Amino acid sequence: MNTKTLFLWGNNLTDAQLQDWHFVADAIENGTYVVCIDPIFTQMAAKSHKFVAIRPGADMPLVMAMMYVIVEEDLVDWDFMREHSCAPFLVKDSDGLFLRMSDLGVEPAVGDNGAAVDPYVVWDADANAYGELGAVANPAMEGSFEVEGISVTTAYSLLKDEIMKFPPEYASTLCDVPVETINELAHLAVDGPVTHRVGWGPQAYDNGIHPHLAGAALGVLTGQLCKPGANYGPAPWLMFLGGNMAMQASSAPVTSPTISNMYMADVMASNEFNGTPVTPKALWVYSGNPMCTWVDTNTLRDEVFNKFELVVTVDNMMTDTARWSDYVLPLAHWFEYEDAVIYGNTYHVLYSGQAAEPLGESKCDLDIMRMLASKMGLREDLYPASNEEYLRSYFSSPTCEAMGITYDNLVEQRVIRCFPENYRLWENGAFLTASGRAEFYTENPVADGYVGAVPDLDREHLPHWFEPREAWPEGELAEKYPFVLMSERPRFRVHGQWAYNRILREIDPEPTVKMNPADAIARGLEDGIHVECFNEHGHAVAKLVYNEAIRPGTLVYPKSWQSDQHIAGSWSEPLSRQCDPVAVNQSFMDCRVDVRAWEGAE
Amino acid sequence: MTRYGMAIDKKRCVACNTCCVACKIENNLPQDMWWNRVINEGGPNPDSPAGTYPSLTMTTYTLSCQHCANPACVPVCPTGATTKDPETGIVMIDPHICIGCKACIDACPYGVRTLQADEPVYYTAFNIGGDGIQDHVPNTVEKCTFCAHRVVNGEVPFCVEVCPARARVFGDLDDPNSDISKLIASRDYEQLLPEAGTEPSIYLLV
Repeated sequence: MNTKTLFLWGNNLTDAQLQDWHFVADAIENGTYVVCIDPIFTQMAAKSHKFVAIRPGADMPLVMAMMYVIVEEDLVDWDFMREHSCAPFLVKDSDGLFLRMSDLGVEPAVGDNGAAVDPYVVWDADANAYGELGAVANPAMEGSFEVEGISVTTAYSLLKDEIMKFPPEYASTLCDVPVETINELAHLAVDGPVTHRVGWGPQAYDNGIHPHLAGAALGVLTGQLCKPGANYGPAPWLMFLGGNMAMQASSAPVTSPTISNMYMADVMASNEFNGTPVTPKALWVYSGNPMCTWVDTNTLRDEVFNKFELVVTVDNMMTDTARWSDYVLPLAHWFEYEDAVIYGNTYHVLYSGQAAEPLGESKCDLDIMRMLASKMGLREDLYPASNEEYLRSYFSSPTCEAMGITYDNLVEQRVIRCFPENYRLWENGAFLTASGRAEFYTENPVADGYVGAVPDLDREHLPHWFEPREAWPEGELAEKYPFVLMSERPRFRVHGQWAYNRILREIDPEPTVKMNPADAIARGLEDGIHVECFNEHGHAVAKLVYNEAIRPGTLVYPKSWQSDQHIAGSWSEPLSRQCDPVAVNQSFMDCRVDVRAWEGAE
Repeated sequence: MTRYGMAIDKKRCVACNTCCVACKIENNLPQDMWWNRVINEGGPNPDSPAGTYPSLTMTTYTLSCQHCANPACVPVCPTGATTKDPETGIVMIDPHICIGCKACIDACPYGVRTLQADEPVYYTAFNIGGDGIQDHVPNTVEKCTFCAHRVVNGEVPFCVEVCPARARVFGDLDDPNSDISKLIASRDYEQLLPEAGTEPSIYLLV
């Protein structure tokens, strides 16, 4: 409401986060200028003051070029950079870590909380000598120095080196945003308060970490963080952590590894995960529909699901995953049992009461686990209390007491606020980093979830550009498969949920794929025919819909139709399970296909 | 006197269809019956803009009975099934008087009346919706009632209550101090087919 300019980065807010749209509409009425950066002209784009059409997978160069303009024109918020960021910290050439007093032989002191206090070292620009952070009034923001024989460079200089690789003229060739627009956006970004809200678009490519490293750096460089109306981040997805944690923690240590979906086929084939033997025999699927919503359906079915001896799915509808399971356990709908919601796009704890008796034999997850534990001979007191007793115990903690959150209060009030009014992330510059400052330089990147050799992490200290794996206009793959296949999270479903709702299916009866009319006409594809989108991984058949909102060279499909609703194939078939070894992300939009009229049986 | 009307803010409507679906639930509408629909202003397909990428425009609103001050449907009804309530300005159809002749469908310039030709087919084995809703009778014409069954109890139509965009405002057009009257006085608006002389009670804020 109080932001001057709102940047929406790949955020189809009016469909995927409709619950927040009325706040944006209020802000617009209050004078906020909205910039929508998206390859697709969404309803949100139509409501924005400025639509910036961008090439898929290329948000990062646009952000970098905006920072280039800001640095070139000296529009940097130097006070914020000095007081609240890692800009003056000295990065050691030798290991990429920040220089601390212990590197210079000063023993760390013991702080009030018992933790070691090892001050960061900065370069005193006035004295031309090193000094402790906090003791130096005017630390150098730029430069390389020798500190007692240790070669160091300020974190800001390292960031600037990366920024200077992206003059707008060059960045424009990557992101396909005109130079004058880049200049305009840079000036909007420094005229605060500015809020940058990111959707799940820019991360849906193999290079998807880096637009966010760049975006967060932009927030720091412009000082547009942790102030009223200024922020960089996604929709506020919050969790109430004040409950009785003993109620959700397992007392037994976890003994099995966590393995990403993208590597599961290899693990099932080799019975090995990073050198450790693993022989998974049974798969228990709950709260998800991977056969529909995860990448590379065909490999997941043939090389993963079919290799398990036993597959059990717990769900309240017959999903693609349930169809490939040996047992389907009917889950009660959330209207049919009592629970509380502590996590979501909300500042509140919500009570979810039972409105109807569970249908047939269906049960809630907790009852299913209780019965399973009993049959498996696990401790009988695994989940001993009733569901109500569980909730009563969960909302019994000092924090709950202080906030007036009890089971009885929740039942009575239905909704209790658990975050402060006007809650802001990192209020007053209290960043949750080791230094307590905004660290645009990641001192010690750690890889997680990779398979094989430890990935090279040098790239991860700072925003770094590399092309998306498939969704790039050059190369052999682009010739063979000319269209980038993008998905949208549409308004008529939440992932696979509501797939068989008959009212919704009257509005939206079958899978569709949207295409720019110029592309379609060039290929002789008429509006409304069935087309097949395909590559070597698989295919999906859907009704073609002409739509000028679609960027030429791309196809856009509303995601998560169940496979029996397609004439043939399904949308997750063409998506590769390859992933960047650091991101270990399902790159849902890093995909290329070709498209042709469907001539198979209907 | 009271004359109920509705303002629909085109700067807020994002074609989410919540109001259309909520209408079906509240009024227990049978299969394929819709009293309220999303209209896309742009290209021919839903959510498609006018123009050439990336220079594009798109707006959207919903279309249902306009509850006209001078309705075209009332005088053509041969049985008196379609009436305008003088107390509220709401145009109603009595399904037990309607003979399904479709004269009103031909007369209405907005295309918001639908014949329920056959025995209604419902989505559930039990009735859903509000108390006092209209019956669904084969071979009769149906349309939006402004949720007269709710309005009579001082509630707003269900589509207004559920709109996630807060795009819909309902109230008395004859009361200059009502929210809707003040909104219309302060905002630019359009009305559909003013040249038809029907004096619609729906205002599209632009």
